[in-house]
Amino acid sequence: MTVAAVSKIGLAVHRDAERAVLGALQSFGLCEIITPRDEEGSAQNPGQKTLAYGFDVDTALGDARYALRVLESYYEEPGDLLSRMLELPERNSVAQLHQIYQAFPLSSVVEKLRQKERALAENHSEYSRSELFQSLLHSLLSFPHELSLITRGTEYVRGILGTLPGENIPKAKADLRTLSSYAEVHTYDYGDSKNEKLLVALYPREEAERVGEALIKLGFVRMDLPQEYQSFAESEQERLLQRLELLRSQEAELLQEFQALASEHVPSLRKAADYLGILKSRDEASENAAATEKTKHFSLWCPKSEIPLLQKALETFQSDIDMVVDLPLEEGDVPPTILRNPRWVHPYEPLTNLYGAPGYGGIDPTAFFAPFFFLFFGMCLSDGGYGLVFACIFLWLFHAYRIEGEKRKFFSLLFWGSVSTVVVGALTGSWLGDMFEQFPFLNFMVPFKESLVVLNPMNDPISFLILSLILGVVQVLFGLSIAMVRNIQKKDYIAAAGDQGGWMTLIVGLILLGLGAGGFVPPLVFLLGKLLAALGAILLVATQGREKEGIVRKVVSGVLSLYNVTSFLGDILSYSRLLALGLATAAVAMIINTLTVLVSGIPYVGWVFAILLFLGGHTFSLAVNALGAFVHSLRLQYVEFFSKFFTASGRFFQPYRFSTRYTTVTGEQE
Amino acid sequence: MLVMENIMGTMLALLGAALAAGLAGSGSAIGVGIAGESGAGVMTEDPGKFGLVLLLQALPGTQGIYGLLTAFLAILKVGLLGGGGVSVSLWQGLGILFACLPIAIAGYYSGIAQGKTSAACIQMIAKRPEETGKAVILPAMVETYAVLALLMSVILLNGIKI
Repeated sequence: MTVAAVSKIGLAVHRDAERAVLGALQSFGLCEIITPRDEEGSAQNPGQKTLAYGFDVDTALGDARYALRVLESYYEEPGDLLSRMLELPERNSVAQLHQIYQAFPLSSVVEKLRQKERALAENHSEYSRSELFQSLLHSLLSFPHELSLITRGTEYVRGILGTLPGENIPKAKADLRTLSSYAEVHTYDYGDSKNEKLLVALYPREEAERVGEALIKLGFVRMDLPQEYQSFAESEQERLLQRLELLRSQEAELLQEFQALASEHVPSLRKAADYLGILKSRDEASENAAATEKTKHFSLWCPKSEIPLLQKALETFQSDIDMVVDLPLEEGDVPPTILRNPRWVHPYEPLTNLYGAPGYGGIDPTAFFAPFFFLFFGMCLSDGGYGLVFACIFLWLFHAYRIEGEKRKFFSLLFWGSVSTVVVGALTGSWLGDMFEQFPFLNFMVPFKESLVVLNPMNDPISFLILSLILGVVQVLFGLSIAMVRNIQKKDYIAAAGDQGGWMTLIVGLILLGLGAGGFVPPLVFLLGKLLAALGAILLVATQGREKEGIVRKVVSGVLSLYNVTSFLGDILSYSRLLALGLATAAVAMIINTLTVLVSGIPYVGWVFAILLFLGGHTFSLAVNALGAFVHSLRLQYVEFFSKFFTASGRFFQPYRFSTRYTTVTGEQE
Repeated sequence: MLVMENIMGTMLALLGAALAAGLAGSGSAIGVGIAGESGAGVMTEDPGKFGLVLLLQALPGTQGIYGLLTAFLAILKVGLLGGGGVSVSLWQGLGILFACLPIAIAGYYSGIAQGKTSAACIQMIAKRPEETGKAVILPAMVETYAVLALLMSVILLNGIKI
């Protein structure tokens, strides 16, 4: 399959119509605007750069985002979580968004929010300051004088407050006594500190300087108590506690106000922000376009199949635009890649997207790997019961929610994976492991189950391993043949015969050779194997050194290339994971069932534990094994299959459309 | 003497089961731990990445499950879960012990290695959340070898006739 053909389009627009035309392009949503390289575009842009909206879009957008950032943390989202995660947001037209924006008092809301944020911050800082003093006052509760003695002093007495290492306290007391016989020293425990003590020293005013010096020598750290503390510590603490209470209630009030503002404004604010975002995206598109005094020039990529629709979308602007289709590509133009697949392949496209875009004109691998992924996922999960549970989950999601776009594709992928899981589970006889055999009341299902079984990997893992490896050979050869056809189309016959033909012949030959040596096939086929292997090896030796200079180097590189057979061997053996993961699912399920039966034997409460173990265990097992099935099936595609023919050398189409965060924009008008 | 040998056989099988569950589980524990540390770092910046981080952190956890699985198959084989009364010779017991070794050894080391890769990939999605697909594949490359070891353990166990 190839990617969609795109056309380069030149569009000249009269400045008067620019806003409307950009709007129409954005609603159309299937054109990519080519951003000009540095030398053209904005640098030479004469005249008005942005579209004139009559106000500064950037500032308004900044305000709206600021307001959302503040308010969203207080906003309770309506509706259920799954719906928000899975469904597209509410639908609106640009005209509706415009109306909502017009009616929204953005600047006054922003002003109010700034005030309230400031008030909240001030409240917080006062609260933490007050808490600190509260704990200080708590330590000073037994201080026998009024605090004004420390904060202001009297005509004759001065006080000082601070912390001092505990071991220096006797020394401090002695030193102060020698300075003045009136000196008084009080010490208190302070906070969590074991060593530091709180110290209050009272001394005659004229000794202040010497007292300070003496204390500092002993490691004293002074603390300032604000002058407002004058009364006894106990009543001051009482006052402070009341203040803290008030601050707490003020904070609660503020938070309530934020919540009220959030529930009132967030829904419209989001729409306003989306509207401003749309204007901004138009501004950017306009800014990047080359310009003359009267016109703007856009270059676009558009899928060829959509060009008639584009012409129709721009029909109303006929007198203001000039459109040229199929412009020749210039140097440096890289057309974008658009995957174009039949409907049944769509669910698998997200996996190609994950790997990277195919180059323009290259192969789109989606349809090639889709059947393999479908099968491999089933083989890895390989349990009818898990498959049914998985399928029901997705059917319910599709039924209950309106899931669209990439999410829908991805969920369909998992749904189809669960279908294949049910089929593989039935054929290998695994229904939640060995549930039908383990639980006596389900034993009646065993004959029905057995009637569907083709191969039970628990009993016969080797046959299942061989089947896995055969699938590996098939996919590797398929990958090589895709590359071969591609090379033939490009008329690169040497590459087709050597790079792919050589390997395909050698691999098939070696397999027949191996089977012959084991006596599984008649001697004639064994001989054919020998011939094919020899032919393949000769082809490889002859072609793999073709880029080297000189006959010796050519031959040496050719011979060395045969060593790559190990990488093909590794690729094919890698498919043995299909067996291992399938076995793991069946065995884990079996273990859960065995434990359930064991636990159910506990008297009286056994059945409760049994039910919990059964449900919890199988839920866990389904989750882990589904993740494993997905990751490993994907790996087989990315590593073993893609490496044969596919390089992700392209870039994805990025159409100019509404990329809004909170609403789904349906178009310009309703 | 025969009774003694029977007990030895069962005990060797148990040693195998213990090694499979214990070593592979330890490997996973270390791996999930390494990835979790990295994940916690990323989530300090952006708690919204919880889902992706959890997914990547869970990847090195499978070795523990493979080890547990092998251990269960081993003790099922010697009849210690339900069934009961199977006589296991010394040689059969030794065989079961050997059969448990691939997942025990590869589970331990690949769990740690996968944990490191997951941790690195968690750092990657911190900067480029759009590359989650690639970030999931890289740790899966490491897991291949645990899967192969599990495969070998299961095939070996299956090959021992009791």
